[in-house]
Amino acid sequence: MSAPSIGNDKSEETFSEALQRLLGVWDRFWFTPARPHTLCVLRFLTGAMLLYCHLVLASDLSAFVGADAWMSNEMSRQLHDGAFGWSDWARSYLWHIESPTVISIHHAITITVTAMFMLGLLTRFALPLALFLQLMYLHRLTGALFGLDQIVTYSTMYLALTPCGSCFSIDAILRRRFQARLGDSRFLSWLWPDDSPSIAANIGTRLLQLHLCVIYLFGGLSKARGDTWWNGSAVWYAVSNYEYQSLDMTWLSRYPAIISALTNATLFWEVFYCALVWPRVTRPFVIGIAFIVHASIAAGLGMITFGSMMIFANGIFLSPRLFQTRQQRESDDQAAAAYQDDEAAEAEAAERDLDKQLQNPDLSAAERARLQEKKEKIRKAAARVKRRYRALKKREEKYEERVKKLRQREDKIKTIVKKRRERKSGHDDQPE
Amino acid sequence: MSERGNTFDDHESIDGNDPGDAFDDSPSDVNFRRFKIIASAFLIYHLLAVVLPPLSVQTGSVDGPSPLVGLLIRPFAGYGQFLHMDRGYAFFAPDPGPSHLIQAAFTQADGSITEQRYPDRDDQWPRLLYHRHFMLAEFLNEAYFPPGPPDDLFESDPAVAAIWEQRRGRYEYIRRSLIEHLRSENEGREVQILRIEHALPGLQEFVEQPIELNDPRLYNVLLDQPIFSDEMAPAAGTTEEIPAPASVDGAESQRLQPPVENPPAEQPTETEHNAETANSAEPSDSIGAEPTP
Repeated sequence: MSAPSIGNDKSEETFSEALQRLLGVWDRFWFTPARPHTLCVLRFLTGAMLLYCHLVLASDLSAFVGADAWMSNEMSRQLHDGAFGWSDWARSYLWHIESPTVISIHHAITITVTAMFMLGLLTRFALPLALFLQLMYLHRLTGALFGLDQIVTYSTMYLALTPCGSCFSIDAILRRRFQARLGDSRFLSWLWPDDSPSIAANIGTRLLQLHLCVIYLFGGLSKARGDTWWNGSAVWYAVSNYEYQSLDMTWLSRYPAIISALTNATLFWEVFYCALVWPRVTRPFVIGIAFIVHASIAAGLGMITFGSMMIFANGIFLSPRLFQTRQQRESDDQAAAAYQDDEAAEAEAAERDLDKQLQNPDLSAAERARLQEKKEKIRKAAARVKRRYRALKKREEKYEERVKKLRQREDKIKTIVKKRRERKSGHDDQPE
Repeated sequence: MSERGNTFDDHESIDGNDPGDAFDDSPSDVNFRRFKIIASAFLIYHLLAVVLPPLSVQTGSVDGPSPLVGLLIRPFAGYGQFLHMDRGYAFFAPDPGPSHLIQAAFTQADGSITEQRYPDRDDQWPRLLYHRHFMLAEFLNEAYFPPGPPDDLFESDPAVAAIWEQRRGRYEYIRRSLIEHLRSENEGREVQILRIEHALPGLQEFVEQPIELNDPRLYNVLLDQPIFSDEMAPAAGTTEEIPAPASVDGAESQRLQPPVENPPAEQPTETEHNAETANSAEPSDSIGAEPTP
């Protein structure tokens, strides 16, 4: 008697098949082209935050950069170069600049480059340069950094890999203006990319998503080592910290159960973020909690910059469709439907071909089994394609329905306006 | 290839399709396959550089990182350090604790003393600037290592004694850098600093007896004294004065005095009353021997 099947085809996979499937998943996860619209929005927000950081630094530049800074040039260098026993690869030429004039000019250039990054002007150059300058500042400002500097740097780093200047940017305007010349110049086409799907956009998106998962996972795990995150008092100790406080939340002390619930919810949310942010069903809840947690940090714990930047970064999980025009969305759906249609037709043709081969009486049992297996796979793939096709069709129908309703409403409004005008003109014509 | 002519950007397809499905052996696909292999190798390397530093923090102990993670992280450490990814991401963890501040006493031209606390919301605006000062105060506290090591440790465990010296030296250098900055802002006149801990009221305690979060009773001066000292808190003026480092100009003048008991009227109000609360009879954080970086 054969072992009972557990009803999962994957359980019968060989190791090489499972490996192939895994490679396919890896391939799809990283190398499926994606639209850059979410990244373009994130470019603006990250650029604005980085610009703000540099502007604030400019207001007290000599206190943080230069020979007489809180951390002198020498001190800052020694924290990294092994003077105290351990050396790292953090290096900054700012350790060697002492002239206040040079430092001011350097900072003005940094602000200009960051503003270009934010506005999307020559983004292909401005963004990597802004990242480099940011790293130089980070290695110089050791001791004065916190979470904001981390997340703003990571966002910049991943955006630098992508064509995030392709929309909502000055580059996009320039591209439209010089459209005619783009066909001749590969350089200009690279400099001013269009907003078509690209692998680069997908890789940048995936890296930031995964980095966020790592941040939350280890944030949660390190909290799990403390007592107060378990006994429910950690949130109290956060809100009762005078140096962080920007909004007096000590009234919460009257509701210890709420404090406890907020504490435990934060702990579990952080630990499980990395798992629950991927399924479509749980993603809105996980991102919604992220918004609430970081908005609370921004409003109550005096870290409006950090809280806002974490909310912006979480936006990386939003679909680019949210930032596309309706026309772009419709055109994407139509193209996808046409592609799926072709794919389904190809699968059906392959299935017919296999049927013909199977009718051959000379086939050995092993060959027949192999062909049957292949046919089964194709049939399943075709079914998947058909399902996707039907979903897309449904979406398309919804759009059409919505357009139809809008047109009907427009016609109604027109009729009402027309009637009113007629009534008014009739009224005006009557002699008093 | 599309008009952009960039392989990395160009393999366009519609969302949801697998670009790897349609491989044939055309040169562009062979190149694309190569690109994917190289990109995958880089992605794996990068992701390990992202994951291993916080793992190293979590698995670390007073003896250093775990032997396994310490070994694994080696090829990725430098890359992560340059990109500022060598972080633990332990925000408010493992437990939210008290804040640490710096209390500075400035000697004025007329010999009077004024005090200033860092961070200070009234002085540092916008909030981001305040937060940078706050982080500096926390950094000084994190770097703190007590004076020492005791002489007999050099004989019994020279390696530990050397590490102790290094850490103490690091703290001294950081503290001196902060003092030098404040001196430059005080026209070269004497400046002394203290580390202050701002304790947090417990929830039960707060419910039973509500207290202002900036109540003077919550501020404590952190003493700089040897951990093997017989006296937990020596009386004022009994702390041994260690000669100031020779390499620092005028370092002798930086020897700290006890905090001001009766500060002048022009001191900022908040700083003033907090200074009074800071157990003002206690000896202050003093400059130690020449650090050994």
